[in-house]
Amino acid sequence: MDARDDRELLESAQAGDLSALGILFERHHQAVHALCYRLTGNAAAADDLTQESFLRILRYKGRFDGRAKFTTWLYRLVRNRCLDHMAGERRDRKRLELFAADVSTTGHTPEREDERAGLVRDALSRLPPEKREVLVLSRFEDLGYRDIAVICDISVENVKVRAHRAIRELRRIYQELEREA
Amino acid sequence: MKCDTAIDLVIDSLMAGPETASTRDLDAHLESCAVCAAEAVKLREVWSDLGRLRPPVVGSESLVRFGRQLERHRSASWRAIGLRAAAAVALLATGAVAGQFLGRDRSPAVVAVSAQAAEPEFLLLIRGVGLDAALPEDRLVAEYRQWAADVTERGQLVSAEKLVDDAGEWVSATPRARDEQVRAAVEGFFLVKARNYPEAVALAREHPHVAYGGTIEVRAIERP
Repeated sequence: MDARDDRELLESAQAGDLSALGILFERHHQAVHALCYRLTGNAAAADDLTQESFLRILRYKGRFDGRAKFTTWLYRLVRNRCLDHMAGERRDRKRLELFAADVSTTGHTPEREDERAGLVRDALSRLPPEKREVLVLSRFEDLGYRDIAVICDISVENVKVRAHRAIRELRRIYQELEREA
Repeated sequence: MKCDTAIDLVIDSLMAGPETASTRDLDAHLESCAVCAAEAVKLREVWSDLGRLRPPVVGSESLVRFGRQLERHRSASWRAIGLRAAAAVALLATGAVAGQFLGRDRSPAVVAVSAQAAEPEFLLLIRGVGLDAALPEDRLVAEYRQWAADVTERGQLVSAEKLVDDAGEWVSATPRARDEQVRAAVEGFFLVKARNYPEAVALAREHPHVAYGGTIEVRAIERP
């Protein structure tokens, strides 16, 4: 077990020590994968996005100023990568829709997921990305408005507004799905 | 308390923790307003169900895959720094050509122990720092070969070795950054005969590695 903290490992990785990046990956890849999965709803994409996000650390190395927590900085990077991915996916889907009627991009879902979890996953996937991300960061990463504001690069007030709209919309979609079920 | 405020407080209590909401006023409102109470129940329910959403388990293959990505990245860094693709091949070819000239075809490197002990010898340490990696490999190889042929013809080349394309390992009391090691790594060396430093430096200056931005460190071999 390496005794260095995340910041020290990041500094070593920035200085070219790729094994330090490997240790950061070991420490955080599960959490990053979960975040990617919850943001995209696609397990295969989450695999790729997790790997890409950690490699991006090397390219974004100059941007960590140490004021935020390492994980806040990391989640911001991950979130941006996921948004890029989802935007690309939407573009691809539009192009594909010209040729095919049914284009599903949802990957496999975890086994043993109960019915209610399935409903809420469906409901979450129907939220627009900017609303989904504040809910995911709050509910699963246990982050407050202030940290979410840093990650999403918006004001705290804006986070609050988005979060309130997001959960109301999620509740509405969830209820509709329940009725359909 | 207005209904909108009450629902906002319910959401705040879910998202930012119960301490952010004034629960006494909220509880009083929810007791007196059935619509808000029902809405609060539904919001809490959906929030609770969100927690059921388990992510897939990430297997150990993810670590293995990332390890491979790091290896690829390490190789790419080498190319970016300079010598891997072009100069390494060139050095290898140089050694082979020098070997042929010296009658000892020992590719990938040449070792020609024809030096006379009394003659001063200099080590030309080839470093990749600054080398333009975009240079055409064929051209580099041809020019490196020509340099080796010229020096060999003049009877000045004693030996040449190309080192493996990595940063090697540094051993010191104070750990050095990997990046520093990579930048300072020696790619290969020539052992040449020259009367003095100026002559050895002149020899190094003629090497195409310098013209293309690479660095050659010239060091005299100490003789008793």
